Amino acid sequence: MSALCGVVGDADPAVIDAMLRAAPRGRLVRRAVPGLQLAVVDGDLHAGATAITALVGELGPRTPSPALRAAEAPDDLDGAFAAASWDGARLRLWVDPFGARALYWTHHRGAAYFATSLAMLLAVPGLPITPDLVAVHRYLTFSFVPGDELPITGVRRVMPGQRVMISPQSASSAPWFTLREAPRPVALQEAAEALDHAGRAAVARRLPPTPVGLYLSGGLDSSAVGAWLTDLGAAVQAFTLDFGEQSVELDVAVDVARHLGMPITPVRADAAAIDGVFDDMVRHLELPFGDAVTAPQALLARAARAAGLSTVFNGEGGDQLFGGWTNKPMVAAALYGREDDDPAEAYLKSFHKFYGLEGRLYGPGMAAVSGNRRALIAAHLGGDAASFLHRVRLTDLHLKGSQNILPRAERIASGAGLHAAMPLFDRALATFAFELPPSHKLAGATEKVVLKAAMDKRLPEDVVHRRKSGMSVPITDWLFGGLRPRMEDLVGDAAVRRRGLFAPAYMAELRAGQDVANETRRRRVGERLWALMMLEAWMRRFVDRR
Amino acid sequence: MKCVKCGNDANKKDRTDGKCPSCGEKFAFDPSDGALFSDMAFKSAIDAVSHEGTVKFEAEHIRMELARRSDVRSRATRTVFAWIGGILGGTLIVAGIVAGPMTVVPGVVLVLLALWAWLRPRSPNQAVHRSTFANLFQTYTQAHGKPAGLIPPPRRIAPSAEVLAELESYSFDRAVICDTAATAELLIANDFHFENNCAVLSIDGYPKGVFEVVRKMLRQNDKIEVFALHDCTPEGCALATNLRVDKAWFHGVGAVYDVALRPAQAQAFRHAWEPAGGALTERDGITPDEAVWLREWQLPLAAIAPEQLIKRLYRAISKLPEERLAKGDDGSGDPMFIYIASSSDGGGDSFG
Repeated sequence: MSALCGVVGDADPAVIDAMLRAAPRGRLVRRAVPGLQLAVVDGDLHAGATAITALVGELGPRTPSPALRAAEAPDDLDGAFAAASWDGARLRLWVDPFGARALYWTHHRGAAYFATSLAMLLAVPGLPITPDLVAVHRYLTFSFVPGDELPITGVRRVMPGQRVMISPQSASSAPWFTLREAPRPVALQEAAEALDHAGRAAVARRLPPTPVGLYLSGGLDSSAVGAWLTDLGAAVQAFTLDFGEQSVELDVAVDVARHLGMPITPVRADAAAIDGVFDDMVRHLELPFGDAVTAPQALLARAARAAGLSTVFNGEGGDQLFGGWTNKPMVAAALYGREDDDPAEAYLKSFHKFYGLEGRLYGPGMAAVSGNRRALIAAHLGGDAASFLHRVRLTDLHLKGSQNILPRAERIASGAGLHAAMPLFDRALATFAFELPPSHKLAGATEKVVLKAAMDKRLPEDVVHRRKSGMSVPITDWLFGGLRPRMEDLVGDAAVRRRGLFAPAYMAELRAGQDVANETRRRRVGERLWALMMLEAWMRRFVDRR
Repeated sequence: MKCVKCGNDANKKDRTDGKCPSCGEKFAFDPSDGALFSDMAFKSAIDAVSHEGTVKFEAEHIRMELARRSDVRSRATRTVFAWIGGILGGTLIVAGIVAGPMTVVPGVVLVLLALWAWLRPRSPNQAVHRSTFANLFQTYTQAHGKPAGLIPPPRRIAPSAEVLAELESYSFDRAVICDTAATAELLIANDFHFENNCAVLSIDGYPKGVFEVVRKMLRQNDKIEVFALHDCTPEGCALATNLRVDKAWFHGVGAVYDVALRPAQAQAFRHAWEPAGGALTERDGITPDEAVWLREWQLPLAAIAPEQLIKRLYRAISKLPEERLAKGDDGSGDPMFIYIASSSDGGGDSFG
């Protein structure tokens, strides 16, 4: 995996050495000019008379000098990359449109440090590492860390679609890519044909000449990616999760693979398997990602790597672009509002973590913390998109998509030595998706209308037209079964008291399987516990440095 | 008597001016002066229905909870009496056989009394009368404030005309149609619509600002699943059938299921039965056996605690169509789904 790090301002070159000790191994290039030291591992670096540009990751469309192209940021710039550009006085940092690659930075002792890995940044000698409880507070609502402030005081990240200008003493940011709604009238069938073409092109832009893997869930999105891979003649090995008796979509995934003529490997996911990948997963994720699906994804990555693959495709992004299960709750919330309602309230509740439960969860250490979570949503939910549905979709894309789904998939894949290809997070495809009228995404009660029309007759009818329930990870069963020792270790009474953030009484209720009184879904207590476990595991590794 | 605010247990002579000597909180009631309940009994009922403020509820639920506790206490008393009477009576009979016949007759009488106490039907309707409860509740809230979780007067507003025009073109997979606005508001206040991607309306037009739009939205989905939720009254029991035949609702569209409450489900809530009006005009959707019960009794949905109602309703709507039983027949040949409530009818039985 590639890496980028450096410092702006006066700093001992030994600092770069320390950062590189935490970097992946590979082809190393270092540059030092007055005011800047820079190192790139397995990346691209272009040095001119005074300007230097460095890039790691995949840039699209590909060019002979990707770093230079990145610096110019043309309208079709896409990919999964992190870049740094120095003009002799200031450094600009930016990442790809949807945040696949990360780039972190901080100010310390009169210099600005940056790195594509949190472990590398935290290796800066003398850097104070203290938890930022505001970011923790936000994490507990969203189950990922939203915004540019990380749960370590003073450490920030470059947001997707943003360019950060940093100097030894200051920083400012400005957008370089903004996805906007621009609907134009188009008949459904014509839109479906255009989507078929655009989706296939997005897959083609990411397709290497070697065999690839495909995570096939049995849902429409990953099946569509499979159909496009087949169109392109790719050699594909599919993988799907096997939850044993609790599998909901395994048979459907097998059916799709058979229909598309690709072999499929069920990957067993149970408590023991999850326990086996847990520590590596925390290490590779580098931030707390609290959705229970993360661990099964780590199992898929291991299986793909064991099969000798280096690139895996998935269907992530379909919900954000074409409408998914969050639409209808938001429609319901909009219809049944009260006069004192805040539109962001429903969106915050839709994560079903600890929003509204702070009074029960937080101990004295967290009680006074607030995090202005609404501001993170307001820019998109209250944005200038004309349609309600597109405001919800853009909010989903910017938050869940760019700050949760995409980066965690990339981290898990790269942790296994894989490249994650996510064609539904393609810039051109996303732009196309927001040129479609909302009615092609939700018509009546039918979600993803245009994608269903594109895949009608190409995929089994059951996949295209059934009511999707979402992946159901049996996390509650696992935590109260084979993962109980891990749970007790991370969020048992002793650990809770030692960390001092949460109320022992409420934590004891969760560990006893007790959720809020009118909670109807048993999985939620497991999901809440898992989110807390991931936070504690992350803090032990990156804050406590254990 | 315990203070609801600080828990201090004070004697009457220490409660000067009717206030807690420890924290100064006013007492609403004094059972020693003939009040039906103590403050703590009231609070305990509120905590039970609201799960300490986490579940939204109506005042009617408190009334029903008090009635349930009264019924539990009555049953406990009868059980104790039956056991004591049975043991004593049995002892007297055995003593009479061994030592002489004088104690046999009293022993048999005691055993028969014990059996009667055990076996006689429970009296329905232990509920506190509505007007009595309204006065009690007002007295309680004047002393202690409105309880957390009490559903406020609904102030639902429709979204802007622009947003509404867009939302009109969407639909839902499911809808719960209630016979009263209060039931609809109970579900909405507890976010049932949001948690279950589900429209909620009452048959009589609630919520007013969006009623016609939502009803039109529902008719756009020809596969809509509709769940009728209602009091056990003639009008309630006919709700599902009316929804099915009314062209303004779901005639020719989707599937309608009756989830509660019907007379067969009412047996577990005898403490909350209320005398009916008496006359019952024949109507579709009610079987002859049901009509017999409905002529004499009715049962409000509020007999089920809000948390229980939400969970049971969720289980009912979450079943796959092929899992739904077709039970009961309204005579039209159109099978209805009836969700059979469990025999559990509430929480603990502490009282005061």
